[in-house]
Amino acid sequence: MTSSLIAGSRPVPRSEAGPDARGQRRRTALVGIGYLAPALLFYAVFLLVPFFHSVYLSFCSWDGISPKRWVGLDNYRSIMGSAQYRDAFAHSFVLIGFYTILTMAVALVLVGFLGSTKVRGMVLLRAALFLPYVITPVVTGVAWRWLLAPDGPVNAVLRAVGLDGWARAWLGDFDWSLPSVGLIGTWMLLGLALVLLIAGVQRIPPDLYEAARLDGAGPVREFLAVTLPGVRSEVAVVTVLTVTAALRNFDLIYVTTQGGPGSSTEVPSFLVYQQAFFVGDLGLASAMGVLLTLLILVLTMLTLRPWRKG
Amino acid sequence: MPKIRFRRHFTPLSAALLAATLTLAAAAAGCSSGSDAEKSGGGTLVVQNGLGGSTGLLAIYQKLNQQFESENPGVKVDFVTKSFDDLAATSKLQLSGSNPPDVVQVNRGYQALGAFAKGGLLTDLADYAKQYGWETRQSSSQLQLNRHSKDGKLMGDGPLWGLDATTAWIGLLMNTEVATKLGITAEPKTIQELESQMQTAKAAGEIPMQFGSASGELAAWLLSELLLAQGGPEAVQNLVFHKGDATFTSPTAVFAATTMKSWGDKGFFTPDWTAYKTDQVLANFTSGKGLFTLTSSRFMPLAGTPEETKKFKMVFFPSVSGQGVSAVGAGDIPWTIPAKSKNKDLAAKYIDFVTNEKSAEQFLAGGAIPSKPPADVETAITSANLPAPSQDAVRNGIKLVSDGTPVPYVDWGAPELYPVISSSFDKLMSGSLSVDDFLGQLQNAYGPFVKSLQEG
Repeated sequence: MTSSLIAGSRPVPRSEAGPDARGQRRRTALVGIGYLAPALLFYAVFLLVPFFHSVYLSFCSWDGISPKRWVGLDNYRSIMGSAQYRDAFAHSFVLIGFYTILTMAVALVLVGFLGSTKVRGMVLLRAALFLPYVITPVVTGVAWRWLLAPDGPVNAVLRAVGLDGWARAWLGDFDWSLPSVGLIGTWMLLGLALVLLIAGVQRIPPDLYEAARLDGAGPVREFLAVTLPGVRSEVAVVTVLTVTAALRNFDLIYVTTQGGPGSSTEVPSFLVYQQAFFVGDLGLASAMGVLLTLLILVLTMLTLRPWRKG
Repeated sequence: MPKIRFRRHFTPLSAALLAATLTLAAAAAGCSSGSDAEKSGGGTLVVQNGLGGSTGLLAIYQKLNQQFESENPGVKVDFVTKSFDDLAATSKLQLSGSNPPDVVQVNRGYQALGAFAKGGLLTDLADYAKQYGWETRQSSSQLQLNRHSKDGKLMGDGPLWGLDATTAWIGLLMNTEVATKLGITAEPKTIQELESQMQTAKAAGEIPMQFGSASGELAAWLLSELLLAQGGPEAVQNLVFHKGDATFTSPTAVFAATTMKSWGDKGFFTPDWTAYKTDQVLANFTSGKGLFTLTSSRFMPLAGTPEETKKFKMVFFPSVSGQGVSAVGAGDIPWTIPAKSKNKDLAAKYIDFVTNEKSAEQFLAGGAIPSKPPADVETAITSANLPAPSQDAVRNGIKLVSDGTPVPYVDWGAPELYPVISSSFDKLMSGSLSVDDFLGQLQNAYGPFVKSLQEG
């Protein structure tokens, strides 16, 4: 069966192309489409059609009921001209700092330790590390709201050890609310990053570590020369996933701060929700959604570029 | 040979997959339309509410639905509950579709009730109002909030689109035990008295007002109450109904913003108040901390036994002059009939049933404030055996509806007002926005919207 599958799906060389070969290629293509059809149909109906409809709506003024009015680039102009929207995008980049850079840094340090040593009960450890990612963000948000409340456990610990000056309303503080949300996100995504990176480390042949040690490499050198190059594709995957999570971030913001205090934790997806469902300006909300999609697309392409070349 | 085997074996499989996908998609479409048709036809009345979380009210509605069913043999009420946010987010699509619920609660405001009226998605209730006598059942100021012009431009004017069964109002919740300890014997009648009582509490190390802005609504309530306190009902009504060239830069608005800012500066609010949501504010207050809090009567009954909650009293937010009975308050989300409802007459009968005097008694017995006040309020309250703060809420709520002026929430004036009040309030209080800048931002969310409606 396997051999027949391989024989059938192998492309026919051009030099052999006769009427029979062409017909066979067409049939092969049809078979391919047949396999793709179920997924493609759902993808088209639930993703592509709504996306292109949103692109169309982003050029309209529409309240969801009255006839749509074509306004060209007006919605995009209002977004670019509004300090509130620009700030929201800036907040997303701060969150990328936490969700991606901090998560990756902590995960790599931990992987550096775990990669070169044999850990007993790795399966259990991995399950425990992955848990924060499996928990619904809403539950995570509610739990952290309690932990970071003005009279919550985090502040209680700080006061108990004499750091009264550090205790504050973490999620209600103009300076600390965004970093607090960022740290919650880091906590949530660390498990995912670790599990992916550990899986990568386990694929590295142990001989490489042995060879490095024989050559006199210390732990740092070993990490830089063996572990890091061994997990570069996992690093790419983690980067794409965490950058996307930072930019799409809605649930955590909605549950923890609702964009406040003031507008210090407002992010684009929260504003999309607010504009679409409460203000009723679907054109502006769509434009914001389109910009967010483009930003995610560009950042993903930039992230994957060096790896593709490599 | 292998090629032939491949084709024979796999082509039908892929064709089958494709066919299965299409069949599934068709079946899904068929299923949904079939079940919807079943729901609205054959004596079933689909009633959709946005009261998710209001367990007390929902329990009363369940009882009323049973009574409605027994009074109308063959009719079954399919009571669909959504959260307020879900209702607001989905009703536009539902009402535009071909199979909306028969009766549905629709949020007020230019972007909700106004937009639906303009889009022809709701039934004008004029004929039913005449048939059932709704125009005399509730006062004109109550009904006004459910009116909207057909072009969507004017709230409070034009046809009646809905009717509310219960009412909620915003007032001060006062801890009388804390008050007695501080030597305060009566609730404040003027803003000046309120400020001096809060000052007394502050000096004694007590929290003058439990407050929190994390969910935004308390800021909007406080702004509405202070506008009302200084400018009277007209000041808020003109802003909401777009009358008298009302603006957020008026002296009344300056008073409201300056007062809020001064309360923040004097430390009258809970420390770290930006971190607390409305439910946490109330929980902090009912745990015994604080002299006052701003609250809605819809949060009654308070958590705790009647014995534990008897120290709390719900009173009107004072005015500058100390005259008149008014408060920010309105009927709960009004019941409307979608234009495409298939059971309009039965739907109207249902609305009439839940808003009539008999249902009002049951709402009151459950601690809610009926929009149609009972003939003998005191007897009804006594026989309902409600905890003390709920009694205050009902008594004052009925007084407001019968003798006073319920005033709309100021953020109904424009769709963007609520989010702007919510975010700018924190900035005003932290000092990153001046009073003028704060009011400027409110006016930016309000003025252009009013102008766009008028220019239409």
